[in-house]
Amino acid sequence: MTVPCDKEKILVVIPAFNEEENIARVIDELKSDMPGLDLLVVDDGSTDRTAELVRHTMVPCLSLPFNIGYSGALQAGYKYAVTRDYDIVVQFDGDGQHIAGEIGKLLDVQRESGADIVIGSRFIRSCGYRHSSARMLGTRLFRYLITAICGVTIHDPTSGFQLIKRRAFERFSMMHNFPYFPDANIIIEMLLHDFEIAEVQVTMRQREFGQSMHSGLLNPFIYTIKVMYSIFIIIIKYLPVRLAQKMT
Amino acid sequence: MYWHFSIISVAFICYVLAKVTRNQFSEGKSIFWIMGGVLMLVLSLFPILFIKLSHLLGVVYPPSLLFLFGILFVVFVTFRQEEEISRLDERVKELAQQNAILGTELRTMRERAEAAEPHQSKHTGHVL
Repeated sequence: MTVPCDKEKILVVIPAFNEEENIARVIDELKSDMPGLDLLVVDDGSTDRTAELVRHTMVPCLSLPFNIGYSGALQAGYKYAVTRDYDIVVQFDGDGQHIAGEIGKLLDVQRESGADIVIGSRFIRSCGYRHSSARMLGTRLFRYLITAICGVTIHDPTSGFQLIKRRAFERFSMMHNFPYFPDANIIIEMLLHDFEIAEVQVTMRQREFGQSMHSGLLNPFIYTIKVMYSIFIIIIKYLPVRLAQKMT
Repeated sequence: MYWHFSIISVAFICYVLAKVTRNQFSEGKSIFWIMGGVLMLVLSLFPILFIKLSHLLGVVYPPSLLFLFGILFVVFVTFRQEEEISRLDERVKELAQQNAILGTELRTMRERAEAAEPHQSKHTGHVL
């Protein structure tokens, strides 16, 4: 059952690492295009003026004492959302790629479908978003793996633009060894544990300033290997659970 | 019997024990090294044991078995250390997350308290 909109507490979690060029613009856009949503910036040990700029905007800022990586920053956001009793978390990148107005689409789909996770996808139909060929290959491989293992098609498993219901982010917040790269691996884990995942086509911008964590030729390759290994571990962990279910 | 190796073994055991008594090495982790030291001592006092073991395992040149054991020991220790580092990594990450959440809570509470009693904090000069 979908909770009525006005009673839902929604938190937009914005992980940011050295995003002084983008962060103020991202916050301004969110405030003007999606008023009424609570914002939280997770400053992942930035060495530039990111935290200082966020404080000027009066948006709460979780300042991690040192860099713990994208997934650690996200998990800190989930933990904050759990302690503050939020119903929904929206992951929103601090680099300006995501468009604030598109959050409405995620919320609409969540209300219609009742899904635990709604992914803002770039690839359900072409939206002109350019990916490097190495990354596109990885995305295709993950898409294929998800279909092969779970029988569900997720067009854009690498998208960081997601809406997550409490049932799901509470699980993420308590996860030990939350994957360093939450990607197709997490999607597979959630699908195997009967969480519902929906997708909606969204538009995204190309990154304007700074460098993506997946830039270069070797990084996407290493990334793919790590996510594949993570999927392997998830399957190994899940098999005994499935066998136990079958036995009973 | 190899006296020089026996002396090194005893010195090693004493060194580990000294570290433990000065609280520079945990009791739990030192047991493994003490056992290693004792094994070294026994083998240096009775090398025939090692030679018999190598014959039993079909190793023609006994010192090569010693190298094999040495390498296995190093691999084992490295693996244990990596395991420990992974555990510590996770704990450090959790502490950093908690630290950040508590820091934000504290800041929010301070701001609320300052907003509620702006005059008091100005008169007393306390930073809330």
